Amino acid sequence: MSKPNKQVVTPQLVTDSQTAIAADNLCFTYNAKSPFSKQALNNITLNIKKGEFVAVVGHTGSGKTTFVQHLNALIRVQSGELRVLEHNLSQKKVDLKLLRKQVGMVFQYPEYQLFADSVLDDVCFGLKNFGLKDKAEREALAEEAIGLVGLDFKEVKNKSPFDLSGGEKRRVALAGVLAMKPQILVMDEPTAGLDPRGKREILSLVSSLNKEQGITVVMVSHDMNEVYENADRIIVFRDGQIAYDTTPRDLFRNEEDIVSMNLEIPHMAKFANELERNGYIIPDNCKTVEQTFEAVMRLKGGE
Amino acid sequence: MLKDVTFGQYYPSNSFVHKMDARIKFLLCLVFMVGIFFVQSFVVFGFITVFLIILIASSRVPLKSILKSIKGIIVLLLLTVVLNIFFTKGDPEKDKLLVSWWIFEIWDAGLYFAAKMFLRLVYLVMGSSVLTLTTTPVDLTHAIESLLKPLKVIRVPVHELALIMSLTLSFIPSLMEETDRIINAQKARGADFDTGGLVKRAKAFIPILIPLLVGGFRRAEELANAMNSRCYEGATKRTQMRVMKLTWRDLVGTLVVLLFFVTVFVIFGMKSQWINANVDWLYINDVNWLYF
Amino acid sequence: MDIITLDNVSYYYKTYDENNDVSYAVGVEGVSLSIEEGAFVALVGHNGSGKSTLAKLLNGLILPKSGTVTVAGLSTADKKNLFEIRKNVGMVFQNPDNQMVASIVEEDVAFGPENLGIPQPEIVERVSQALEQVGMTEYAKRSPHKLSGGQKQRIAIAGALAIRPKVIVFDESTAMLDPLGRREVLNVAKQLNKQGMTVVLITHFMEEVLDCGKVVVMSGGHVVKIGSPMEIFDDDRLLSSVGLDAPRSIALSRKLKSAGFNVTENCIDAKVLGGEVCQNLTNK
Repeated sequence: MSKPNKQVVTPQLVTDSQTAIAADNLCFTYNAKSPFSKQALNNITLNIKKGEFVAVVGHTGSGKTTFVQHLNALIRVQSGELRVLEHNLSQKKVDLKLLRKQVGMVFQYPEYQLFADSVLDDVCFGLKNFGLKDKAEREALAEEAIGLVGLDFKEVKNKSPFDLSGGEKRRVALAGVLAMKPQILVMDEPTAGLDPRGKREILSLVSSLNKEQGITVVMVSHDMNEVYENADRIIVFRDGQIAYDTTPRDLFRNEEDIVSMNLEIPHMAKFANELERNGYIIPDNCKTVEQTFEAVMRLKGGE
Repeated sequence: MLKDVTFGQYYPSNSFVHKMDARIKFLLCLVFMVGIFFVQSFVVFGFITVFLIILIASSRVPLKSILKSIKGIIVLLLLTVVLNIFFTKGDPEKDKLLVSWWIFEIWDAGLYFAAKMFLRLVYLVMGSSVLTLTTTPVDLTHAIESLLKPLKVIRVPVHELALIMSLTLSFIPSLMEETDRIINAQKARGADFDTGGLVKRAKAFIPILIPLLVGGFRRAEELANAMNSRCYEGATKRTQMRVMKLTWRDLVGTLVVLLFFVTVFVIFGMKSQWINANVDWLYINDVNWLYF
Repeated sequence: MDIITLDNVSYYYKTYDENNDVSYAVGVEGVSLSIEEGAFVALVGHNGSGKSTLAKLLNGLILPKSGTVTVAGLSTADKKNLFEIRKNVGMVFQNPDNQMVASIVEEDVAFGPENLGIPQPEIVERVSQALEQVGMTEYAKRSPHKLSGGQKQRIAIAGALAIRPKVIVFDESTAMLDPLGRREVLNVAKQLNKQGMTVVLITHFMEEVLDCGKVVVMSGGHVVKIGSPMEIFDDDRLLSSVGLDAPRSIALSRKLKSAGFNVTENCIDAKVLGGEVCQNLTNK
């Protein structure tokens, strides 16, 4: 007889080369063991594939921010299992440098974290920290990233980041993360406070990073219209648990439940739902105003 | 997480002590502090202990919270006790030498004195923590403003000082959150605050300090706009919503504390070694001042 | 009667280039505008269009470089008028955390009346009335920092109301809030207007301007159009040229209308629009 295995057997997380993020029974409690303890995550289990564009929604205090902060180990796993790319974050020892280089994290109002004398230095900050010693190489990556966010490298590189407009500052902050060539991009309300044009520009940038470069995107957002049109999949957090994990179209078919969580129904989803109730089908992939309009025209022209 | 740090250790309750006027509490706390300063005898310390027990009971603050405040001065306490034991020289005619080794001498007087110093410090902290546990920082600010009012005559900007205190209190939570967020953001960009030499570590804080500073200026400007929009023009002709009214509680509280100290000092003051006023006391008192 | 009039107002910001040479950037230029007492006016425009500069001109936080701003008959250019002007024009700003002066809700609301030198019993009355108007009475003794963004902004509104102004300016007060918080603030603004308060709402969310009487569109520091919300939405070329979007439902209804559908023009409720479209499809 061999010794009884002391370790509790947890179901092995199935991950393969296609998995970007896998969580199994992830739990987290703030101020554990104190009278102020508050459970923020309760049995989170999910699997996100490489190349997906996932939106994370839920109202304040639902646990979504706690969850995304786990993804690059800003918050360490308390219980349950979490794998991000090749890292097992449930273990004590994690190659933080590599992890944080691979998982780019853009916080709310990222422009408030700029600090360097010049835009170039700020964008290179991460590259330097992650051990890229060659200055020319750093500058090349910075130039690429600054171009990617739609700024003119020559014009802005020597400017102080504090002299730029609000929208430009946010792009510089974004470039600082993109320069590290992350495989996963985690963003906490990247469009908060921007005007409609600024929002559209950031979202189309994120979309193209996802579609053209295959970067996995995890985006926290309060704007259901933008989430509806951009994400492949929406995960709804409620009281530390996953309430829904489904496609945008399916999610917003649950109108009453969504409203009860203080979330809004996107206009085009509301419209499509009403048509569906009357027996007219708007295809699931028609989510923008333009696409919906064309779908209606097809309904009109058909038959 | 930084935002979990609580400021001002106010313990909410509706007790007698909580309901007392913050100014009176502040002044009585001063009386208490000065009072225990003069106590030299264990008998009187016994009375003070009873007094503290009654005080804490009537404040309905858990003893645990009060004892917690002692944790903060534990190093100072140990130091005081050790120094007093070893460095109090007794009078050979009166006191007993207990241990003598190399240059160290331990006298019974040293032990007594160390014990008294210990009690004095502990009681001082317990007394003042009853004040901070039963009074909100806001009330304390108002009390200090009100008590300092006479200083206006000599052009001390009392109102401005109080406003600064109040603004600081209201900005601490959001500053804490912002610091937390900036630290996380820079960590996510690979910043390392934990390894390397002193210079490297100090340098690592620049990416936190600069955004905080820039944010501070931004906040200050927005706050100035908000205050101006709400007709702020300095202290002139300003009134206050909060009236601090003295109630029967304040009268009772004051009488109890004053009567207690007066009684104790009158009764025991006659026995000079208990509340000492002789030459020995003056000598010991020299040592006293070292630690206060 | 007009409570606020702007006559050919311009304001420029000083900027410094790399060589520390001074140049001037347009904040607003040649703006003439009048706001009637009791009106609900929206000021819209992209970031940097000059709408916040205009807001700060309204209560003399900044003074016009040329032209005049008159509030209740008083020019902001005269320093002696500012106190009186600010009593008339309350202002709520963008970041709820940066306009709190006290760590207890009721004391924060009392800040304005205290500055006015109002006797103590009346301050108490004003504070409790203001908190009631924004539905925050039960939070009077709480600390603001634990409240939600929308609640904090309601406290800020109460702080302005306690001064009993004739006008309240919302300077992008909804920009940092989540949809729920935005709704809270907007509902309070609408309700105040119903009670007779003049409301100036500055925003870049076009959904928020639907109930306004008048919308002022700004771009590049200039007023480019003034009209009712529907008139503004009608001009979709203008909207896209200044970087603003009509709400999606309205955009769709306009497209359908011009494609020959019989639907309500500028329909904000997508469900209603859906129903109408179904009828069109069925009766085809």
